[in-house]
Amino acid sequence: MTSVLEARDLTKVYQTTHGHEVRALSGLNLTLAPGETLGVVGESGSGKTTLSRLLLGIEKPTSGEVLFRGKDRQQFGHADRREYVNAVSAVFQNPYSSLNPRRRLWDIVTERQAIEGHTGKRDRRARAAALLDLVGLRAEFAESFPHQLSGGQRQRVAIARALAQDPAVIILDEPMSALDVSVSGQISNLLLDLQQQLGVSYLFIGHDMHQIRHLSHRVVVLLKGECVEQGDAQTVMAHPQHPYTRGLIAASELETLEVSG
Amino acid sequence: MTALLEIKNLEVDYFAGADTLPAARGVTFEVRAGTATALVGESGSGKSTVAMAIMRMIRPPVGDIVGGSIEVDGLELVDLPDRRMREVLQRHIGFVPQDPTTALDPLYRVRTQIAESMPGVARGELNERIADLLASLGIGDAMSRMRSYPHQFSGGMCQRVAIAIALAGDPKVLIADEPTTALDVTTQVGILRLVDRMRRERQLATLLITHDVRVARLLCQNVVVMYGGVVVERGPVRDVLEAPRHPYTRALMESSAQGRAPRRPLRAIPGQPATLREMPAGCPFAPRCERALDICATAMPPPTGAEHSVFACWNPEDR
Repeated sequence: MTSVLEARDLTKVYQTTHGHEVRALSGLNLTLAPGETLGVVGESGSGKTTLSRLLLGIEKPTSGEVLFRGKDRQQFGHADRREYVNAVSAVFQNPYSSLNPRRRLWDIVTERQAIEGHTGKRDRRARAAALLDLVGLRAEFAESFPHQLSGGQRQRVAIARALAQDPAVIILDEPMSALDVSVSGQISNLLLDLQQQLGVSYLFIGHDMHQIRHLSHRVVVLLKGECVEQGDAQTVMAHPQHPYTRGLIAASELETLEVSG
Repeated sequence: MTALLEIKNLEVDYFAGADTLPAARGVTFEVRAGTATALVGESGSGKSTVAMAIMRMIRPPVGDIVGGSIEVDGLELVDLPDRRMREVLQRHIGFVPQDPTTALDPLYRVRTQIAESMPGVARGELNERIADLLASLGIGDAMSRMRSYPHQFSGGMCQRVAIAIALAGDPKVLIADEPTTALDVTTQVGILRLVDRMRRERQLATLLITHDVRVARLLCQNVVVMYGGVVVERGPVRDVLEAPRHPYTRALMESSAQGRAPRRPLRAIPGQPATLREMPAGCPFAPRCERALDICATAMPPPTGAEHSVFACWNPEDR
């Protein structure tokens, strides 16, 4: 199976001001196939956000490689880089801070198009209408500002923006964590539906084991920057091998607070 | 057992310019000594408004309590003078915040922050009292660790310190606002166990504010479900959550991904949560409700039922 995105021995070490080293990510290997959802589970400090920043190219790895369609990102030329930013997009946790409050929605979702040089406003508005429709928002919203929307609607806008350049991969960094329960179900359904329609791959970063199990084909479990377990989502959830994975699942399935045997 | 916290027909409004926004309407419930009640709802449901109102922290020009009553151990709080209210907050009500890393003051040692909530304790006894309290909350080596600053503690340990501050005045009522939401899953369990143990040991009337039905089920005997500022259903956890009568309660239970077939659509609730600005005359959930009748949009259903749960619905689910 050819992978669309691959991380090989990916390592990120941060230097603190006092000269200490913090290994945020340590020798991580993962692959993402076309149309696949890879769930990344971990608690705070596990390196999941570092992983998303490395994959998005916001930061450079200390060592190791990120390969896109088999090509090492370090060997990218100008055209490759441009292709990459269009092919790998992102939806962030907090839709209250990830959308520019001073821009209208049509402008937000088609910003990448403008950067690519397709600046005709009529084209961009038409594209915006199609994108908003795709994520289940009425066309009237195109002229609205983010503050006029609820949290769930904003997250739909963030998803529309991520879809704008027909990406191969969307990195979803805790996209439901800031949303209400009744709305996170809608977003979960939307993500499944879009994947079916468009064949896009997801790297879904989260901490809710039920959501991860529900959405993912395969999972990676991170602990302090290292992968402790990786495999088929249903298998890992049903038969976790690593004690940490077992702990995470037990905590999420706890039925009573009474301590038993 | 008597009700230590009794809320009757509580009405809270927020003021936004010329507008009056109803944030809590006719909220009624009670919490008995040694029991825990969960106030469950989404953002904008009014759950935090009720908690803040109990502590009289909603004041003009932001908003005000415009009706109803709040009694703690028989004492009416709604029109209590500020000086007496401070006493109540010091001695009778403990509050655990959502995010201890921001609620604790980074500039003061943990000891100082706990001591603040122990007025009247002799200086000579203070260290010992604080150490005992911290030790009972699972903080080892308490004598020396109380001299640390909040940043030297992990999130879970900070929450234990916050609980220590809440319990320092030996209150009868404990209000915890999403006490585990900011914590990692594995840390959450420890904090939940701790709140549970304190409830039993100290016979606390515990009010847990949460959006998480699972946490409510783990920690509480009773549950109050709020939507759009009204209580849609309340009663024992086993009745309300196992056999919900209000369609919103049922929809809330079903929208979780837990136990659902992988990669199949969830039964999500359509539409957006109610906003205070567009509150219908009838049931606030009616615009999103699949069981809604004509009357639901125009008239607020009265609370009915008693045996298992009290619910406000014109067309309830079957039991």
